[in-house]
Amino acid sequence: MTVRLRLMIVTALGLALTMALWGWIQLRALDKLLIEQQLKRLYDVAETVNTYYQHFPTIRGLTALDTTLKDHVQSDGRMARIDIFSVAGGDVDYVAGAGRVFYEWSESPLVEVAKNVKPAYLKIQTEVGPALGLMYTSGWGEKVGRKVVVCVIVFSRANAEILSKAQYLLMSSSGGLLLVIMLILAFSYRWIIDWPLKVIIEAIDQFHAGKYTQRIPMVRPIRQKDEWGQLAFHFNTMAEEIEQVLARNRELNRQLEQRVQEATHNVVQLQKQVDQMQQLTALGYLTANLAHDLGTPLHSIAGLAGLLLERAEGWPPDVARKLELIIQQTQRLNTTIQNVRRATRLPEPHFEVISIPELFGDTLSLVEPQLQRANITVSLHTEPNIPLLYADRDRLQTALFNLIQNGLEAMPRGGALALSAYTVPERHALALSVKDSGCGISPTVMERVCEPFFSTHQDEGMRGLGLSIVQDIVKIHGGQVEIKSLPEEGSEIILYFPMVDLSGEQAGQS
Amino acid sequence: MRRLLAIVLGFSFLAASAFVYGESAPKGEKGPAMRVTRMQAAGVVTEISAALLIIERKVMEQVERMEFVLEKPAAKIKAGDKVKVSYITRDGKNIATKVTADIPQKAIKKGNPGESKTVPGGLKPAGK
Repeated sequence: MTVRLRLMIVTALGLALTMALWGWIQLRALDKLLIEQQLKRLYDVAETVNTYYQHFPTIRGLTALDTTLKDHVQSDGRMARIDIFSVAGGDVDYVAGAGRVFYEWSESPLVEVAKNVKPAYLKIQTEVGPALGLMYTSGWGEKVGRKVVVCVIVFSRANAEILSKAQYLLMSSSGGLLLVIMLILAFSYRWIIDWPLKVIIEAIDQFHAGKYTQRIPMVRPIRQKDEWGQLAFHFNTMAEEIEQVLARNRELNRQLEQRVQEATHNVVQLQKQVDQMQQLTALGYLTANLAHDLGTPLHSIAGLAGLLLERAEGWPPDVARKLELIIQQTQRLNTTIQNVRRATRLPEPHFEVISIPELFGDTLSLVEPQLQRANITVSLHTEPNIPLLYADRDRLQTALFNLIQNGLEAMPRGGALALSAYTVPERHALALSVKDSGCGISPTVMERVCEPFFSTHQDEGMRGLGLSIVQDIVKIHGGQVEIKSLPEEGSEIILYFPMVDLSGEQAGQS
Repeated sequence: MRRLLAIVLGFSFLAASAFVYGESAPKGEKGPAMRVTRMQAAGVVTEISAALLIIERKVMEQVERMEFVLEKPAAKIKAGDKVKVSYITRDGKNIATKVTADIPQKAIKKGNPGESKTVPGGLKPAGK
């Protein structure tokens, strides 16, 4: 049900009720006026009859009294009946009467009228229609203690008709008036409520459907000064703010996406760096072994060929030449092996001053998504005022990344990972610790964990280089690695780096 | 719009009902002026027969004997009863049209005849 219809129903009910009440009051007032008019006439008749009876010459015979009353009734077409009673206390005697209708007066009101000497009236329904009766006494009686009460009845059909007509007129005029008012209201409510509401609802629907630039037009039927105008103004302001918030959100999302892309790029880079380091380390180990395995016999061949060549006498010239060639080729092979070793050697470290909290922060931000996915909580503890570290940032990040990866693998069902940094004065070192709550390392495995290519995992891939790389990195920095672990209680790997006096370095940087 | 139409029709129905009600205002079966005027007298029965009723009527210390011709026998009335007689006069004779025993109403216990109201104090006769 629309607001307009509800308003119309409420208005119609209110108007109908008011009109009905007003009509009822009007009809009651009219009825009272008509009764008063009739009572005046009845009063006249009753007084006349009373006076006549008071002075009635009984010598003429009582029939004359009846005939006079009859003539009086017949002289007026509206007259219904005249009766005379003689009342003494509660005793009521009928004296005489005449009438067109039969009516039996009740004694109690007659007694009351006689007692109080106050006329009273009542509405009567006779066999020929409505009538009005008056009971009158002047206080006079034939004897002491008696009082004469004259009762007169006149037909009030005309009054009833007037009332009925008035009622009809009131009802029809009220109905017509109500109809006209309702029609006016229907159109005015449509103009004042329906139309502006429709415009506002349409604008809100469009806004809700995603047209965030949609506003409520401040033109007719929306007037700026009325409530609709205020509502439209507030909605437009709110829509403006929502649009701004959405734009800000879009910008934030864009920036967030950019940051995620950057972070992803950094992770990929670090992963590549770690992979490259693993590959190079693996290749370094291989070439070292190769150089060792090939170099030894080559040295022997070159040495023997040299000894043979030193014995110059007795060798035909072509043999000496061939021995020289053997020496040259073994030297060339040796040079090639050394070149391969140089080519597979890790790049020279680039030392710089590093803030440990920064290092932790940068590294953790790269692995945070992986840790969250693995349901691992991370805690970070850094000693206050911890000194700066002089190290190769990339290598150190690689070392930490490897240790975190090992921790992740040791906690497949989630767990806790603690990164801490503190000074160890007795070693004159800075300690970086990575502790997990994983499965730990058994004593048999502990002896070999730092061996290259040693892994407890059976799956394919370049395995068993993580801790050896970490060890190499720490070694490059002149530090040490300590591994503490108990099966099913987790592991802690502590990297010790020598503390360096960086006052000169810091002064240079500043 | 359909509801508005229903409301308009409703009001039209009300208006039509009011019209019909107004048109069907109370109408008497017979004009009161056309009815015969009967006189009424009260007294004590002194003699009664199938065709004749004689009562003794007393008004203002004047006692008078009145004779009525009965249109139909009043079987329940007997001599000594206090009665009310409605009558007309025809050819110089009183014709009783209705004879009723004048029993005090307290004993009859009729239904409520209608509530009487005191005439307003300010009301004066039209001629005065």
